[in-house]
Amino acid sequence: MTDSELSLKLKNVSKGDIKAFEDIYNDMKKPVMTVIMRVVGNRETAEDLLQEVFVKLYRSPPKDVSKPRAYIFKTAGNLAIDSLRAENRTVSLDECEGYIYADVPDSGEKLDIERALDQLDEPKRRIVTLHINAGLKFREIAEIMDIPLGTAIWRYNDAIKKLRELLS
Amino acid sequence: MSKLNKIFCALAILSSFALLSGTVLAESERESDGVYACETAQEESNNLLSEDEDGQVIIGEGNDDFPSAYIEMPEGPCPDTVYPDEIMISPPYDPDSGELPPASGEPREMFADYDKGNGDIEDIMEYWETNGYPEYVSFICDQGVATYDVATQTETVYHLWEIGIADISEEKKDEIKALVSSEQHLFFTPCTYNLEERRGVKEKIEREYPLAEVSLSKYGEEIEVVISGYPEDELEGIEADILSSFDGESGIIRILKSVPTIGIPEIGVSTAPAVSEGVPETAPEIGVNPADTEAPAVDSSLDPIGTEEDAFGSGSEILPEQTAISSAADNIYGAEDAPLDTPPINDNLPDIDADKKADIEKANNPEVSGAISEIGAVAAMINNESQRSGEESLWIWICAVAAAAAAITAAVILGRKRMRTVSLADGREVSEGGKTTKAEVVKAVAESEAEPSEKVFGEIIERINKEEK
Repeated sequence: MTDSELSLKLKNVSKGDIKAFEDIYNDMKKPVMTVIMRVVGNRETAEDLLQEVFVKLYRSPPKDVSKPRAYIFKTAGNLAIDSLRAENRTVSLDECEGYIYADVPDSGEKLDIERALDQLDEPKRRIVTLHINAGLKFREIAEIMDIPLGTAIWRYNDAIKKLRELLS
Repeated sequence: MSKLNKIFCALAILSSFALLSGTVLAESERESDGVYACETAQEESNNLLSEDEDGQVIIGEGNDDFPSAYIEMPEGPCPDTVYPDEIMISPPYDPDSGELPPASGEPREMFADYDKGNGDIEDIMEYWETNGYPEYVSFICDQGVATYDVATQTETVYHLWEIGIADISEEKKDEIKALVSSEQHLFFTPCTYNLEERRGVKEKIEREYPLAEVSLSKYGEEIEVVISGYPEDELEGIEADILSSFDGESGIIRILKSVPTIGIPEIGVSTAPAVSEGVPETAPEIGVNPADTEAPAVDSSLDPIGTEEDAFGSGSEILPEQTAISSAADNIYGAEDAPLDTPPINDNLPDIDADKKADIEKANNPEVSGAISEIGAVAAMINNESQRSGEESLWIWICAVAAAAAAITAAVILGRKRMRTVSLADGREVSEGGKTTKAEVVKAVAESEAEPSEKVFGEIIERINKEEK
């Protein structure tokens, strides 16, 4: 779904169009879930937060829908971080091992990349996820995370470099 | 020749053949496992270097992970239409679109917009970061300036983009200005070295001082690198002037160094021999326009980032084999030069008996007896060597030749294996033995998505309905 299609559907959602809402959910559920999972590291919490994101989106869709995708991921990221702060804990991948990708056939390999991602600090992991999984541009990520563009790019490159080392 | 020596030589020959057969066996086992290896190293290099319709060389994904010395170079001069920045930056993979940028002179659609003067420097920076910076760009920095209006109590932030360019000619300035809209506030700072040269130095220092946190500084015209994590006196290997030294917040000494590019080869210079003639020995060659030099399209001297590991660090990966080949070759040459019926060791030996007598005389002196005892032991060992017959030498040389042949073959096979790209049964391609490529990492992350359970949407709708009621 392109940004313009997403914007159009969001407008329809504001008019109470459940079908448009479902389309958005089906299109965004995986990347949003991934972003949340990589912050909170717990599937149950992540699903709760995913619910929060979409309930919030339905209740109050963004008025400025020029960057709808960025809005959704910003909401998801903020909720995830707030949740983490509320619980005041750090996440270990061991907590989610065995059920993150239980439905994926080659879960071993996917767990490897998750383990490698777990080695990154949270901002870098978030940037990698937002750029690759969520498909956001660096400048959108910079806006979401309130950091300079150069910092976002630098952190991304640094994260990829570290992932390459970890996976080699 | 003693029985022990014969047994040892026989074991050496057997182990050499075992090594050869073992390597080959491992290869065949791997192929039978459903991992389909490419036929030859030539094919593998072709996988990395493909050609478009016009015969232009496209640098494929993962080119940064394989020493270009191992890549078959296309003959003839570099086509003019290959962007220098594509050669300099690796790999030209765009995670946004998942596509490689065009290798021909045609800019892609997004970039074409900039030529109309409507571009945004942030987009250009992102584009350059993904696809490679022009060779004259040294850095880009957002010098935000905030103003506060007391009357309205509003803060306004102006973005002033500072662009360091190694070529400060008006032509290059205009080239950048033409890309962006007139509303963009740009100013230019002259720099001696471009970004890739600076990054090359940074990478080099990172390898020399693996525990250091190294970052580039934009200030000044020299290459400046901020190093933390090492005390100043341990950084003597870097031939550069220390500009300033101060304590960081964590108490770590941070040192700002200006590293002249001319000094790069001397910075903790590796004793490693260059893998090929294509590997640059001096940094100034970095970023040379291939069209000017008529260099091969993918020349390691033109790709400091892509092959910096080859030129500087990955050397450590290459070297064991390279050294093995060299030493093995030395052995072979030695064997050919030496007449088999005359043990060569005897030709070069000093008069052992005379030495021994002198040693015994000196050994009577208690002051030097300790040292002499060692010398005497060595002399005795050499003397034993001199007693060897021609048959023994023959056996030794046979063993040496067999071991050398095994080492060379193993090195060649291992070298082939390292640069192999293998296709898995599910169609995925991975590099085997080498460092994971950026494209592979991006792909792995992209494929690693979490999926919520099916009940979630139902629960969302339930909550919405409940709240509406």
